[in-house]
Amino acid sequence: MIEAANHSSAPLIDPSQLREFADFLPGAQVLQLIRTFTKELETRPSMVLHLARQGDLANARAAAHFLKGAALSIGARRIALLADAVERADDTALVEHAQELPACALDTLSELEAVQLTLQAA
Amino acid sequence: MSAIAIVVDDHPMCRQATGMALGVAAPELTIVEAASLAEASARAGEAKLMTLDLALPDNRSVLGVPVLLERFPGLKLLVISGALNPDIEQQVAATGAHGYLSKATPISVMVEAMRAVIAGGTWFSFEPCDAALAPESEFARLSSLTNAQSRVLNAMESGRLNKQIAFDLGLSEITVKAHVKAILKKLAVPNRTQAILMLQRVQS
Repeated sequence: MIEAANHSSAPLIDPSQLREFADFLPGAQVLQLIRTFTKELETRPSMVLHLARQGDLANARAAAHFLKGAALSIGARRIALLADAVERADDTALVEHAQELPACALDTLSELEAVQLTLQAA
Repeated sequence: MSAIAIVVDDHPMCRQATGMALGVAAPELTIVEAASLAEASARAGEAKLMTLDLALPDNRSVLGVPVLLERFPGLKLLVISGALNPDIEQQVAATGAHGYLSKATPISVMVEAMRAVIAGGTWFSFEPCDAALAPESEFARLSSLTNAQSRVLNAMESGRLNKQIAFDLGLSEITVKAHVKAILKKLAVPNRTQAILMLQRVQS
């Protein structure tokens, strides 16, 4: 189990988790998962931040929870832990944590692309 | 008609990933996806396996598990959760579920766990006999509520008044009052606000 720890020290992507998908599933299914997660990264983090800034904290937490589940499923550990921090944050700290999400999403997208290229080359 | 496995998660991507693992673990099963406990319950009677997320629109904690197992005693239930709380696995084991996995579990382990549970085994990172909870714990107290009391408590959490709860659940207001009194006694709290706060702590 991933421990709820400081997210900044967690890897953006756990390559072994993604490699296992590639070992167990047809390439098309792995690509489908990556594509779905890419869409999640492109939309959900900014949605969480928007909701948090609007003061809609319940829906911001719910959106962060959604992001966390998807991130854990594919091994995107850093953003999963950050989303968990948003979900658990008290009302005063929530926006502060949420502000980190869009940048972390961009870093995760770049790393995901790099891991994907490595997998395709293997 | 082929046997089914139900994947219950409100996130389409999590259903997709679990469904793919199930396709490897038990290709003979037809996978049915459900986004809520109510949707899953409609097919649970015919399912060989159910994988269940713990944060659904209509079930936000492990407290829904014993209710489900009581209603469908033959159901094999594997909880797959994104909760990072280290106590969650023990709580799940204490509900009578057949296994627990984190959503971060690698697919190889997920496949192994699914096969074990389908074959009648269990899948926990410890011996399930070690899963007994301290009787005074908040989770143990919440678990001691009957199904009807749990439904009333969930309605209380939504801010419903006794009259509204009675209407929603098809009960008389007197029955709801009796349930609320019994809930406060079992949870050992002085008022409904404290009962709701306890529920929210366990769900977090």
